[in-house]
Order: sequence, then C-alpha cells, then structure tokens
Amino acid sequence: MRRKALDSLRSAIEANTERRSLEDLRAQGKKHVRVVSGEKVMQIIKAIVADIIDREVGAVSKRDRDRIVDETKDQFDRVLKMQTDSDALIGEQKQLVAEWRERAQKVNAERESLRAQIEELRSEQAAREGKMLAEYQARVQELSEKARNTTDESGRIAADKERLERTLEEDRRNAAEREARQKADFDARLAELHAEQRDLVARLEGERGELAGRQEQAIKGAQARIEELQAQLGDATEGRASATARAESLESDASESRTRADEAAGKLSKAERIIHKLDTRLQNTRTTIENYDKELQRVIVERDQLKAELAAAREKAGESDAVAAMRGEMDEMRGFLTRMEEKSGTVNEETLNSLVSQISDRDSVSGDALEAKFSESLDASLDKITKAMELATAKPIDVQVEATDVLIDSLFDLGDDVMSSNMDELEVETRTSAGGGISGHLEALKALRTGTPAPQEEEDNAEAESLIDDLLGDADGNPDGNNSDSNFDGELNDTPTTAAEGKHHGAAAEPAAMSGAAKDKINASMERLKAVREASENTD
Amino acid sequence: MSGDTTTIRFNSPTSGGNAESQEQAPQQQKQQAAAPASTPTKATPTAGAQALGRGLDVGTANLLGATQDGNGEIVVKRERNAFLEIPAEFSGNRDMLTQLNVPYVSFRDKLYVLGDASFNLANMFGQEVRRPMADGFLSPNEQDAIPMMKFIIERLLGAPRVEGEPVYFCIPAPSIDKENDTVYHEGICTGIIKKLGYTPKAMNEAHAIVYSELADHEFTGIGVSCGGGMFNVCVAYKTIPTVKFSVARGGDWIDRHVAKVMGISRTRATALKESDVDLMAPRNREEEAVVLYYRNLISYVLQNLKQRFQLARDVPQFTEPVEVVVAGGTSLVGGFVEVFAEELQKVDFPLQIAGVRRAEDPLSSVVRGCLIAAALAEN
Ligand SMILES: Nc1ncnc2c1ncn2[C@@H]1O[C@H](COP(=O)(O)OP(=O)(O)O)[C@@H](O)[C@H]1O
Repeated sequence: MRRKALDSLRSAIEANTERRSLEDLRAQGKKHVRVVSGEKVMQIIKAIVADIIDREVGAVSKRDRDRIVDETKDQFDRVLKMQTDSDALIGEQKQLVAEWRERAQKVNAERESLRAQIEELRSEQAAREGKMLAEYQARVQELSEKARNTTDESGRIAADKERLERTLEEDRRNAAEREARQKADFDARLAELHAEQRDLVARLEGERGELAGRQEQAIKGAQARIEELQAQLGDATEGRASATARAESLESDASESRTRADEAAGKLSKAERIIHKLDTRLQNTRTTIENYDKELQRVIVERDQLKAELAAAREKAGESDAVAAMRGEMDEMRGFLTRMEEKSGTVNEETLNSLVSQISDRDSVSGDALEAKFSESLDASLDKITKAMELATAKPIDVQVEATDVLIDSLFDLGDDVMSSNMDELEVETRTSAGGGISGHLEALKALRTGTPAPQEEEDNAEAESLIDDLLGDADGNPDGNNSDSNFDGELNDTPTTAAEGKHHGAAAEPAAMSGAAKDKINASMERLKAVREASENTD
Repeated sequence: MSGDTTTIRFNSPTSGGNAESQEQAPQQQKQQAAAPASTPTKATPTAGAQALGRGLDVGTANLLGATQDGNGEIVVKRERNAFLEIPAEFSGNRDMLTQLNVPYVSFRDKLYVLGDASFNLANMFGQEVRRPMADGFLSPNEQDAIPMMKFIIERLLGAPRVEGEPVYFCIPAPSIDKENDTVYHEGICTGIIKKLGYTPKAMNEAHAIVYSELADHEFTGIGVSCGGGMFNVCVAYKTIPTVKFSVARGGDWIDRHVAKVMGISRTRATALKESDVDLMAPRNREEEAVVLYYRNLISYVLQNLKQRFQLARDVPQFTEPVEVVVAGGTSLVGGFVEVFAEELQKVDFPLQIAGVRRAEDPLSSVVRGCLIAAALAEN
C-alpha cells in the first residue's frame, strides 16, 4: 500500500516537472526562470503526500506520514543531484573537446613545420650529395696527378742510379791510376831504403793483420747492405746489379790490395771511404725507395677508399652516367696500378686482381663475343625455319593442307634435346566460365536439328558445310565409335523428360511447324552443299 | 553507371527508334510459344565422367581452351598469345624460371618465355614481346612463333582424353579491308591441333558467339566478336550463318591510333583504354581520343554489316526483331553497349533489332561456342 503511494508520488513529480537545459530556455528567449526553493518543494511534497495518503489510505499515523515525507524528499533530492551532476559532466566534456581541438591544431601546426623541415633536409641532402660527387671527382683528379708525379720520381731515381754508377766507375779508374803511381813510388823507395826495409816490413806485417780484420768487417758490412738492397730493389732494380758488381769488384780490389801490404793502410782507408760513400749513396737510394713504397701504400689505401666510395656512389646513383664516368676512372686507375706493378712489384696483388676481375666481370655481361654467338645461332635458326617454310610453301596451292603438314612436321621434328620446356611442370590460369553449363544449348541445338533446319544458303560456304556435317552426323549413325565414354548421350536424353524441365524442352521440338515445301527446299540445298563438298574433297 | 549496362533494348524495334537502357532481365521478345530452353541450366551432374570435345579460341591477344568438367561446369584456361626471347646470358636460370612459374621453351640454343610472363619480362629487359598473330591471323613473318603457339595450345588443351577427341577452334572470316591468307592460318592451326592428337575443326569466331549466347533465340541473331586484332560479325538464322565477315581493326587498332594522336606509347594507350574508361563519359582528352576511335570503329563495322547484308543473296526472312550480342575483350570497355546501340540506330539497319547486349562472360564467349560445337559433334 505504501509502495503504491510512493509510486504515485514519483509519478506525480515526474508528471509535474520537466527537464530543460539552460540553452533550450535561452533559445526560447527566456532570460529569467522561476526557481522553486527546496522548502517550497517540501511543502508541495507534503501536500501531495498528504493528499495521496488521505485519498488512498485514509488516516495514517503522524510518524508514518513524516517518514514517507522524508523518503520522498530524499528521493527528490537524489533526482535533483543527478541532474546537476550530469550538467557538470556535460560542461566538463565540452571543455575536454575544446582542449582536444586545440591540441589537434597544435599537432597539425607541428606536423606542417616538420614537413617543411623534412623538405629542407631533403634539399640539403641533395646539395650535399652533389658536393660529395664534385669532391670525389676532384679527388680522382688529384690522385691521378699524384700518380703522374710518382712516375716522375721513379725517373729521378733511375737517373740517380745512373749517376751513381758513373761515379763508381770513375772512382775505380782513379783508384787504379793511383795504385799504379803508388806502386812506382813504393818500388823507388824500396830500392832507396833497403836497409830499413826489414823493420818496416815487420811493422807493416803487424799493421796488416789488424787492417785485414777491419777490412773484412767492412766488406761484410758492405755485403750485408748489398744484400739488403738486393732484397729491396728486387729483380727490377738495375742499380742493384751494378752495385753488386761494384761491390764484388771492390772485394777483389781489396783482396788484391791485401797482397800489397805496405800500401794497404792508405789504400784501405781510401777503399773504406769509397765504400762509405757508396754506402751513403745506397742508403739514400734505399730511403728514396722506401719513400716511394710508402707513397705507393698511400696510393693503394686511397684507391681502396675510392673504391668504397665508388661502390657507395654507384649504389646511390644506380647505373647512372656518373657511375659510367667513375668506371672510366676506375679503368684509368687500373692502368696506373698495372704500371706501378711493373715498376715495383710491391703492389698488393690481391687487391689488384679483385679489382681487375670485378671490372672484367661487368664487361662480360655485354660482351661482344656472347652477342656474336647469339646472333650467329639466331641466324642459323632463322635460316633453317625459312628453308623449311620455303620447302613447304613451294608446293602448289591445291596441296596446301599437305604442305602445311610438311611445314608443321619440319617445325616440330626436332627431338627433345633441341626443344625442351618446363610447361608440364606449371599451372595455367584456369577459371570456371561465368555463363554456366552448356547442356541447355545442346538441348536447343538438338531440338533444332531434329526440327527445322536452316534456310537456304547457296554459298559454297565452309562454315555451312561444317554445320551440315554436324546436322548430318546424326543420320550417319555417328557416335559409338569414338565417344564411348562421353556423358552426352545419357545426359541429354534424360534432361527433357524430367518433369520440371519438360515444359521448356518439350517445346523445343516445336519449330517443326514449317511448311513441307520449305523443308523440301532446305533438303535440296543441303543435298547441293553436300555434293559441293564431296566434289571438293575428291579434287583434293 | 552507364558503363555497367550490358543490355540495351530498343523500344520500337526499328533502326530509327530510341535506345533505352535496361539493366533488368531482358524482356523476352515475343518468341513463338516454341521458344527453346530458357537460360541454359546446369547439366545434371554425372558421376565424374567428363564430356568429350574441347573448344579453342585462337585470338590475336589471347588463346583460350575450354572443356566441361564432371559437373557440367565449363573450365576455361587462358594464356596470352605472346612470347619473348630471353637474352642468351640469362638462359642458365631455367630452374629459377620454373620456380617463378614462368613457362619457357628452349629451342636450339635460344630460350623463350611464353604467355603472360613474357609481358612482365619484356618490361624488365626493355624489349617488346613478339606476337605470333597480327590482325586476327598468323603473321607470316613470325615463323619462330609457330612452335611457341603449339606449346601454348598444348598447355591449354592438355592431352586428348581419347585419340582424336574433337577440338573446335575459331577462325576469323576473311577481312574485307585486308588481304589475309586464311588457308595458311587455318592450315597451321589445324596442323598444330592434329599434332597434339586431336581432330581439329574450324568454325567462325562470331558464329561461335551465336552458339554460346543465342540459345534463347533459337540461335538467331547477330554475334559480334570484338577482339584485339579484328572485329568479326556473323548474322545467323537458326544456327546457320547467312552473313559473316571481319574487319582487320580491333582493340589494337584503337591503341595504335590513340597512341599516335596523343603522342604516347602504345603500351600506355592500351593501359589507358583498359583502365576504367567510360565511352559515355570521357574524363580527359586522352579518354576522348579513345571514345573517338571506338565510335569510329563501331560505325565502320556497322556500315559494312549493312552493306554486306544488303548485298547478300538468299537472306532468309527474319520475322522477328533480332538480338545483337557483343563479346570479346574490346567490348569490355564501359559504355560499349550504349555506343554500339547509338551507332546502330544511325546506320538505318535493314533488319529490325530487338536489342544489344554484352555476353555474360565476354572473354570466354567464343571458346564456349566452340566447345558447344565440339560437344554437339561428339553427341
Ligand atoms: N577492360 C578492358 N577494356 C577495354 N579493352 C580491353 C579490356 N580488356 C582487354 N581489352 C582489349 O581487348 C583486346 C583483346 O581481346 P580478346 O578478346 O582477348 O582478343 P582476341 O580475340 O583478339 O585474342 C585487346 O585489344 C585489349 O586491349
């Protein structure tokens, strides 16, 4: 009972109030609204409750009445609160939307500026790449200049060597002259100072032993140096040979002079000086060669760098003109390196070989030899086919079919080794035709065939002939022979008899409603066509 | 929108009437109560047995083979009629070609790639594919091509199921505007098919369309095959062809001329033509060029058809308005049926036309017709 009263209270409130947004009210042009205070609502509620209770239950205790009023008030408060809450929520969400919109605009602006930055970076990159290419080309230029300079230096070395040889030769001549002179002086002095001779000889003997040791040491040193030089100069250095020869001649000079003990001291010190001089010169030569080696090493390193840059550039630029130009420069490099190799024998063989093979690999792709071989075989095939054609088509036109057979035979009579294919291993594009099956067509055709055949056609027409062939095929008792596994017979005879299809197909035989005269005419023309065909077959 | 139309009905079935586009099922023109089977229904499935006989469409652009499977479905195989000679230095990579599903033929010391794959590779090598046929017929100056075609045809037909299984293949009618060696063409095709163990039989290309598309009209009407190399037309009365001819102009002709007038490559012209052009609503100058040549070609075909029809002797009395069916790759362009109908009305054709319609499956229409003829021969 009470519950019922409360329900009607709720509905009373709902029925008497309405929810409207402030915007709505404003839209209706309302600037002021009347606000009912809570107290007033309380009074209304009390009045309503009292009214309802009076009406529905009669007298109720005061306590019950108050309780019901309280409950009702609570409920009303809850409803009011819910409404304010939802208004606040809507406000919040609106603000959120505005914030998001603002943020989206900001992101958009950022994106635009990023895009501009990317554009800028991109053009910078392009400029950088261009600059790199220019720098690279300058580098190549510089390098090839250096290569030329190095070649000049080798020339200088050769000249040095020649000069050295000349000097050595002179020294040798002077030494021989001096030796002869001294020998004469010595002989004279020997005659004059005969008495002192023995003492002197004894003293010189002692000195000779000492000096011989020193000389031997000097010779060993010279030999070691010569060996060192030999190693450095390799087979290519001509200077080495002459140096060795010189050293050998010095050695024999020295051993000769050993027998001339009295003169040995001066001679040996002279020889020593000469060897020292030679040593210094050889030392210089060695330094020059070492420098030269270093330069060469540097060139190799640079070339490797260049190669790497070239590879990078080629990757970047694809097979562009720049790469073609670079390839030309590579060829130049290769030539240069080959020249170097001839001169020094110290070039890194491996690097050179890989470079050379890399370059020659590229060449072979478009190699003239391959192309020539290819076009040769092409010509040969064309020739054979042309001949086969000529052979086949040379026959008169009335044996054309035969000729075609000959042609076909000659084209395919090749054997598997000449002609092969992977086709039996592959799938071919296959689909089901959208038009559906063809049994209906065959039904209709069969119906036509048994009913009214075609109108007159007098043209000697292969097409009509073939059709007539089809039409007559039946009468000839056609099948059985070669279509024993065909499914047409059963299928096609069955279909029209099924109840559902019968009404379509049953009518198919209808076109027979043709006049007898027309039929005769058709039969006559068919006969004529048949005769024409037979005649033409006989003449074949 | 208009590009989707596949049927145009003529209100008053005369050559002067207004064309009206109807996308709904064609209203059946009054056929005598004796109208044969309505839309051909699927064959009753037979227990796995496959019907004998095969169809083969020997087209300038595409070669198609068709056969019936055990369920009476028509299975169509297709391959481009083209090949490419692979440069000798690549001929070592045969296993790779097989792995990539690229068919090749090695012939003496040369390697050829066949069919669709040749187009892709031609782009790669910057070469043009070679095509065994031009304007509907075998090109006498592409004799290398005959073995290639044999391989493609073998791929499409497979082995005969019984010795001498019939294959009906289509040939064009002699062209009215170009001398062609039909005997040579037919002879070579016959030879190739015979070589594969089949019994070959030639049939006219447009006639095949009559077989596959006009069963509902007692095989009476006009079939137009719109191919790459030529247009073929056949007017048939109850299966019998009464007028047939071809013109040596087709999709390739359009490409050639569009390329020339617009100063673009032929490949580009082909791509343009095949990419969603609507003849009734060209969007730019290039498409306008396509429309221009399409219209010109259709009008040319129809004027010649009118003349041939008028000159033909013993033309039967067509008592009912006849249906025109177009098929072939060149009819695929949007708005083709509308333009065809418009041009048809312009020529004042001596025969009453019921409507113009595009075959349901325009690319396989011819080969289906050939298959029907082959199945009939087997029956
Ligand atoms: N979607 C298309 N729109 C216009 N033309 C097309 C489309 N698809 C193919 N073609 C054209 O159809 C021709 C090939 O048609 P097809 O019937 O295969 O010829 P064919 O019978 O000569 O082999 C080509 O000229 C090709 O460009």
